[in-house]
Amino acid sequence: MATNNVVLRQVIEEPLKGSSLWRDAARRLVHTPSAMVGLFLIGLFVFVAIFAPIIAPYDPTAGNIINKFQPPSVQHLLGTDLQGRDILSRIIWGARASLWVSILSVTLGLAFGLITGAVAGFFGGWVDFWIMRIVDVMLSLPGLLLTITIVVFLGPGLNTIAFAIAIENVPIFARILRSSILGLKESDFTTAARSIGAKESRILLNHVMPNSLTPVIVAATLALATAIVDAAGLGFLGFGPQDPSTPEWGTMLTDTYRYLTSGAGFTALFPGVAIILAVLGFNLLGDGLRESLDPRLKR
Amino acid sequence: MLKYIVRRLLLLIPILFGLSIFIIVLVHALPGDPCSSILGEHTSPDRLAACQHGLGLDQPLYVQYFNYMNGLFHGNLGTSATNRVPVLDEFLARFPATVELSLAAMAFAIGIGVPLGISAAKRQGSLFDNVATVLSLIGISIPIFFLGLLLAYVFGVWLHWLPTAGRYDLRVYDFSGAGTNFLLWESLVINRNIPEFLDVVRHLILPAIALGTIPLAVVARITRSAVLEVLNEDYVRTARAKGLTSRRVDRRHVLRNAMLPIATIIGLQTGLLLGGAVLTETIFAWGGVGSWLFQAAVDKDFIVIQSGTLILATVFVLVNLSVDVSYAYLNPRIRYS
Amino acid sequence: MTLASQPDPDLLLSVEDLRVEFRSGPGRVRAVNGITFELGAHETLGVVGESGCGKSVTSLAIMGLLPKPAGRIAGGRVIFDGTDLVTLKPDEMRDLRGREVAMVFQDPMTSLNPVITIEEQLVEVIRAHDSKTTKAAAHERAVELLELVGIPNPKVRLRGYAHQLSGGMRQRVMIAIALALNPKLIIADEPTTALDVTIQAQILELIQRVANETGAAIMLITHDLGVVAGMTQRIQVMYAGRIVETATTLELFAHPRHPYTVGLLRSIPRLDLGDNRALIPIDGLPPDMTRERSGCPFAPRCAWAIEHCLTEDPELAPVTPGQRTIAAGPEANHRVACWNPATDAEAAAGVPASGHVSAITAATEARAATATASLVEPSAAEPSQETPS
Repeated sequence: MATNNVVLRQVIEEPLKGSSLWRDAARRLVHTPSAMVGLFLIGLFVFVAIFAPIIAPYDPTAGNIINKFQPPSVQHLLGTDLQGRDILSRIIWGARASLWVSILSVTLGLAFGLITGAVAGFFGGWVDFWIMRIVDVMLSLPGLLLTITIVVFLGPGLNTIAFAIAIENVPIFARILRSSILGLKESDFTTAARSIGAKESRILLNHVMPNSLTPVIVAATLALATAIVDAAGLGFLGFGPQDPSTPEWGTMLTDTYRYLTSGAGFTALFPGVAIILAVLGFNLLGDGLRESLDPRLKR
Repeated sequence: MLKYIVRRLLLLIPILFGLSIFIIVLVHALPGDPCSSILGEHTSPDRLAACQHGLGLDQPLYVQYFNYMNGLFHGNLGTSATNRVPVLDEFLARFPATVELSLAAMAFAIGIGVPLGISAAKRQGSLFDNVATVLSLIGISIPIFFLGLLLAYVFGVWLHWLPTAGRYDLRVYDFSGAGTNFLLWESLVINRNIPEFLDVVRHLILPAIALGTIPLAVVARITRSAVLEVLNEDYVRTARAKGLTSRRVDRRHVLRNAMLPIATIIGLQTGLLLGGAVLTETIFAWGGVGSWLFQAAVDKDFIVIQSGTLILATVFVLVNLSVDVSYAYLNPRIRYS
Repeated sequence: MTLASQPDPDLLLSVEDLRVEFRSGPGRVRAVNGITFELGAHETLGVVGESGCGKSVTSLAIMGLLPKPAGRIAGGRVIFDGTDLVTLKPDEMRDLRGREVAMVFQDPMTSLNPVITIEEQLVEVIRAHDSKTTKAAAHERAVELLELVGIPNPKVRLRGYAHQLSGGMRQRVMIAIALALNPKLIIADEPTTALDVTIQAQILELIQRVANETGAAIMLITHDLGVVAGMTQRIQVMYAGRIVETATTLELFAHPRHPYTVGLLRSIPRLDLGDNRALIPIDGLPPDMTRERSGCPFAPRCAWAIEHCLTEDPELAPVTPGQRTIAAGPEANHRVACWNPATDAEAAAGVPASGHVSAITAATEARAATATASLVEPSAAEPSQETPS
């Protein structure tokens, strides 16, 4: 009987133990090539953003209009833009803006979304009902339009863009956390933990939270990708940093768009390539995380 | 079934109600108003106050909300503060453009995404599957406006194959006649003018590809995983054990079941297109709802933002409802419960 | 091997040294390890063993339905009605399935397509093999089939969907589908496992009845000796991808020889014997099939094991030495793959005769003790360690 109990405890606690859950996930993640490519791209993106002053060959703001729209050359690997500034240097500095917006927006969105979702999930009842109705309403709005409206009223700039994207993310995170909490609250292993006499608070803290966080982690990674795209889109529409000394990828493409038929070289499209690579990195990692954090998805 | 649809339509009412409160509070909570946009920053306080009074913006928020809702119930969606055109008229004039663009984009996404996903699933682990997986990930990662830019650059500027702006060639054709604004329909069915129709199609290609690429990638991924899942189902093995041809197994057993998740994602993506249309319509000078609402946002045109968003949200919910109805048609377990 | 060239009219199926492998990550699982057996034209054969012993894989291999690309036939022949199914062209094999050989699967809940009508699922098998059959004729046949398997209101049921039927009714539909074209062989893979106990007997009775009426041979696959006891003429016991014992049903129940068979018999309640013997579970777990090993695969769990068992794998041979092998039919003789078979007395007791405690048994016990101990350790208790069934 004693042996049986030990085995039962092992079986129940094994998948719940925080440390081993993450260790297992990390092990599976390392063996997912696409996730590793994603991590590499993200690493490159973060590296470039942090060390921009060192790696950028030119001052991203210095340029002479005489040198505008030069084709790629040894001096300017990706040529120059409308004002004769080095495109490569501006792309490198632009990584900072994208990184900042994505991290800020997802952090803000997570903070509000998780609180809301956790409150709805744990309390249930009418609290849950009303929070979810608000979430429904927000999710039925065409996403980008809401973001644009907020940015228009708050004024352009990286921080307002991040704030607007964060608001768009709140209902998404709230809904994911809530549904995963609800699912786990009544799941077999919570019942099992209860049946071996675990305290309710301990169940929530040690068992429900780590397990309900995995879908949130995946969603957050994918939200980083969406944030970069949306921020660039807003920048492209003219809501990016108004200070020309802060290069931003989307804003750079606005010039390309304007002068598409009158002189912009194909290298003026390269900020777009930078966006794709950064976004691809987070999408690849998000996919890999989804597969490695959720063993049930493994095939 | 009818009962279900009615129930869903009734559920739409509280959502729209909540949405109207949410938007009006949001729009008024944020700084700025249409008058400062219309009159410019260097106007006199008197003129500003007069303008605000004229638009009813000096009244308390609940009065404004009541007046607005009262108008809604009488079919009055309000009038734009910037160009004094009734919102409903402007919407009806522009909506066909967005519908045509969205349908073309979805046709592109489904027409390529579904077969791509099926082929990838059936060759799981092959080179084709891996290439398709990578391509669809890139498709999801590519910003719409950049793709639009790229397409315009390659096919418009560089190759001169396709037009990159507008819905038809203004110099040659005139669509003022019938005024449905569904140009594909108008040119083909009403005007029976084939060159005109082809011109409209040519204008539609690039924006549709730009708008349809993300849905395509999403649809391909969902199709692949749905087909993979169904291929492992017992009933597919049963179908093979019956000695059916693989064509019949694929069509009647695999695809028929895989269609359930695919239909859901197609509905969701169609709804999301309305958001993506803002950027696509701006790049390709497409006079649809997206570029209109974008302009309204820039002008801080409260009424247009409120009503336009409400209409778009309604369309979004209706699209999802029709997907759910088709889902019930595809899935007898729902149909009969 | 003269079987293929001179077809015996009474012989329907002859499996010769069949080997099936599955790719599993870097390794290979030898799911079926060289089995040879025969099945008479109207015979009812029970195939018994634990999950993972290769009994279902054998049936899928015969049907040409091994999951691709992981599974493949690595060797051997499957002669059905004079044709080798292993070398048959895919399209000929397809036409054979459903028409000549039909299959009833384990879980009727998931084996019927949820989104198309029962009628279509019945009609499609009829029309797949004979495009000349009109829809009306196929419909008539479908009604007839549902009546045959005892489904009330067949015309109404045909228009319905699987989820509207109970588990037992669904399994009756599966049987109707299998019967549709009067196949010569029906393979039933655990047809009652997923059903309520009360329904199980009805389904078994139905399978037996339709087999009698249509003259089809039955291969009934199960992990439950109790299921095959009443309805099969012959039984073969499988362990670790090979046949360890085969005999007519009466003979096998009366004189089990292989220690594994003895264990299986002792692990099911026997009301018929009238005594209150304790049920004796078989200790230990089936072997890891990805590993190449020498000796008898059952030896690590076997109380009868002798030194010879660890070094050489025993062949399936007649229990009476020198007897000629008769593989199928009522005359089939009792064969066992064991170096130290149990005697009747030992089989009745469920343990080897007292005094037989060889060094090997001692070693086995020591190993079993470690195995039990390791169960307590987290590494062995991890769910991922379980082999998928």
